[in-house]
Amino acid sequence: MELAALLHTAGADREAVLRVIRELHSLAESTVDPALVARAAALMPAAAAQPDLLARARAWARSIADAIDRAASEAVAGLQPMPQIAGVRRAADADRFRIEGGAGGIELRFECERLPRGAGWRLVGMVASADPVPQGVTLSFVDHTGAQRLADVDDLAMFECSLPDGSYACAVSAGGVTTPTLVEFSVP
Amino acid sequence: MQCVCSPRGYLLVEVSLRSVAMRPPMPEPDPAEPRLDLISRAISGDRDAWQELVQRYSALVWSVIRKGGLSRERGEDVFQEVFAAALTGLRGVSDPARFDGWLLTIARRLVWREWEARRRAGEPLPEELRGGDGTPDTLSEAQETRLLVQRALNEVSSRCRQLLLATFAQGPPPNYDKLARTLGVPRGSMGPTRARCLEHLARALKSLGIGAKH
Repeated sequence: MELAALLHTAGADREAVLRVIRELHSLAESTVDPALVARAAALMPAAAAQPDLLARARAWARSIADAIDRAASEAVAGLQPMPQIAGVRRAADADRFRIEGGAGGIELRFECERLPRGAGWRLVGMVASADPVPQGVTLSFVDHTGAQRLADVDDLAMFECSLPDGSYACAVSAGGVTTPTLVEFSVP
Repeated sequence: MQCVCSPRGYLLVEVSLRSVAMRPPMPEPDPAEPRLDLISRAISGDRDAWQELVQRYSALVWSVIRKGGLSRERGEDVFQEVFAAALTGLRGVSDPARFDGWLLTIARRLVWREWEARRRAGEPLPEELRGGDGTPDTLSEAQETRLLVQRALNEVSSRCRQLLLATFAQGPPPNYDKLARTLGVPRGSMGPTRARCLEHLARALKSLGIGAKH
């Protein structure tokens, strides 16, 4: 009896069966170079035996050191209870958008609204999980040129985003931890 | 080359194949040692468990990288970065049940980072990397299904996993003679073995809620 029939018997609908079969095909086709797998598998013993693993790792891949540095913040961002940027949700009204995120145990939700005549955006409300918000919590926006705008959260009440329409990345930093890969959003 | 063509060479090959075919079947994994136990052992520093994890999740990570549109060369770098990042952060995993989702998120973020440079040049993000709201922190339905399928594959034996993946690969049908030797099962039992493996997989998928909205 084929898998599709077995799943169907088990109560799965056709769409679910198709998704499973498609992903099985995908995984079956994802044959990795065995040498690559062996090298990754050797990472743990190597790390235990070689305190200078990082130096060795640099020789293994161009940006491995960055990856290890980043992993520390990813471990924080991905696994501790709160400090993961939850994503950017646009409000139904295209003249407002909301950002939810956090770092270092501080969770932030804030909302911007469009200023008239294309003058940019301004903050209209913010909720933080800590009160007062510790100093040093910053919010950054990065535009497509890589230019950064930073603002202390304490100053956010006065902070006018003044961002022209476009795509940005934003991140929240606190306690030396910056949210990992920047979250991207498009200002509507 | 001469050796291969000599009678002795053939004999050696034959003996070698026979020894492979006659070796005892690979043991089934201990059912009391499911995926979560493996992950827990890896977190506690068990090297064998880590190696097994890498083996099991390499296809999942590689599929994310390739579907993210990276070249093979860059993809191989990212593949290694993913596991280096995972190893570094492993001890921070407090809930083993979240491990594979966490690993997939690391892979997607690293692929996402590669696309940052291209995005600045005006290239759109591949559909595969977009979650429900266009950020790397949410998984699409396809990605959630992939995780579920990977979990189900991890619930069946290593032999079943190999057999099923060979069966589901696109292209010409697998070489069952070669597969039987690799898996250490008689050629004649491949059909029934495959049927049993499909049943195991279907049970695992059902226990994970396939068919339910996930």
